[in-house]
Amino acid sequence: MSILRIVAVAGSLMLAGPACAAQAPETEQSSPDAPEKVANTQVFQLPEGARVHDVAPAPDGTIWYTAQRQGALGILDPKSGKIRHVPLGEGSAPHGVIQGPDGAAWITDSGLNAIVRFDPKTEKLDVWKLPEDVGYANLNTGAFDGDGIHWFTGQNGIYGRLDPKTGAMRVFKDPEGRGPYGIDATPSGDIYYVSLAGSHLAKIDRATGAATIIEPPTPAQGARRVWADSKSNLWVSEWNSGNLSRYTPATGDWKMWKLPGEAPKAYAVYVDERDIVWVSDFGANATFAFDPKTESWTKYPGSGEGANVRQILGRPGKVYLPESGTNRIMVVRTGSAS
Amino acid sequence: MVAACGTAAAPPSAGTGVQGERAYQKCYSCHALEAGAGKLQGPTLHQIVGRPIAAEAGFDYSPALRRFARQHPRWTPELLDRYVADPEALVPGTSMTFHGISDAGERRALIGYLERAS
Repeated sequence: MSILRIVAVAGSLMLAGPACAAQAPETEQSSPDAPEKVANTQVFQLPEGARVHDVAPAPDGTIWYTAQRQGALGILDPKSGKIRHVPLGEGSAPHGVIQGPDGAAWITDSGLNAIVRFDPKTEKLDVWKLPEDVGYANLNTGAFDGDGIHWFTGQNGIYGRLDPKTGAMRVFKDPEGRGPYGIDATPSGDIYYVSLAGSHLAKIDRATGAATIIEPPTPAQGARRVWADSKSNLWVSEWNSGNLSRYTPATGDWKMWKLPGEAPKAYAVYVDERDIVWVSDFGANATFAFDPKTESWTKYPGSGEGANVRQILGRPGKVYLPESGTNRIMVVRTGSAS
Repeated sequence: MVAACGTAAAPPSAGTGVQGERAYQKCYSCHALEAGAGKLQGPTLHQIVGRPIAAEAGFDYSPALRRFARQHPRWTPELLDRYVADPEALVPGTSMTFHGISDAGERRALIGYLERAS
């Protein structure tokens, strides 16, 4: 492992939101030893009590987020700063949100114990409850495979599949019990998930639903989230060990990098369109952008104390950092696309 | 082997209230009932009722809960009830992201279950 350089993206952050009549111009911040011009950041304050958890890019350029504490899907327009909430129903406590291949928001709602679909064109909500005999699953995160099947995890020890065309749902037990957390699809459409309590990666056989466990080299590392890069390598954020690790399915090889800082706690991971790996660290109250080619880290401090970024997503040229602790969303413009 | 679900994810415990046991499923992914159950995301709930707050050796509690513990030394049933109802409201800044249980009867059943099962 080598940490060649750490670049701190410091300085003032802009707060924008519905209360702001006009937005301040964006600024670029760069520390003196920055090897390259770093990205812009912009921060949006969300409605009080929303407790943002996950985010996803919407087709129209807005940002969806789960307002976990208010049982709603939030919609933030980063151009105007306007925000509105779509209530998801009595008892809702949404955890994850992604954009499906149909352009809809697909929500893993732990409060409703259901998968919820929000159609942005019609504003219609569809709700698929988990079967009664499954019990409370603590639904976590979803991903679509190459055939358009929605796969999801539940921290109480399950994963499952939902066919959007028929509504047919199947739920499976994780081989090692509680812990299934992050889930993602590779470019080829395969599905992998990680187990936080089980400290493993798993590949799902899309035909049978069987999960094959892949043990990372570090024992009890606390694999929390997973994301695939353009070459179908799986990047894993390890909560307990503080490592960012990479699994290469073609060879079965693992490689690990310890995050910078004294006591890193890696929470979320996301790989952008340039194969830059973004990983949030509760220990440093920051998110790092890791370049695998140079093994260098660029640091994006949280916008306030205990920012606690629990998930990361984006679209070409933009990375979204939902700060559950400050109830804000930081937008990083990477400059790689319009 | 693929095990399609037909039962709750957590194992059942005999001799305890069904409603309380069902409510505990909302805690199950992060909290064990046994002492020394290993590395889950939350501390064990073993003998939680009456236990000193933020006192499990080696567990990395949030600064918010540590501050709270200085004012409230033990988890009384009343405090547990308020915490389970809305963790963020009782302990702003807590690292427990649980959304809370709004039904008072369900909370009572849960706390009773925790008293009996651990």
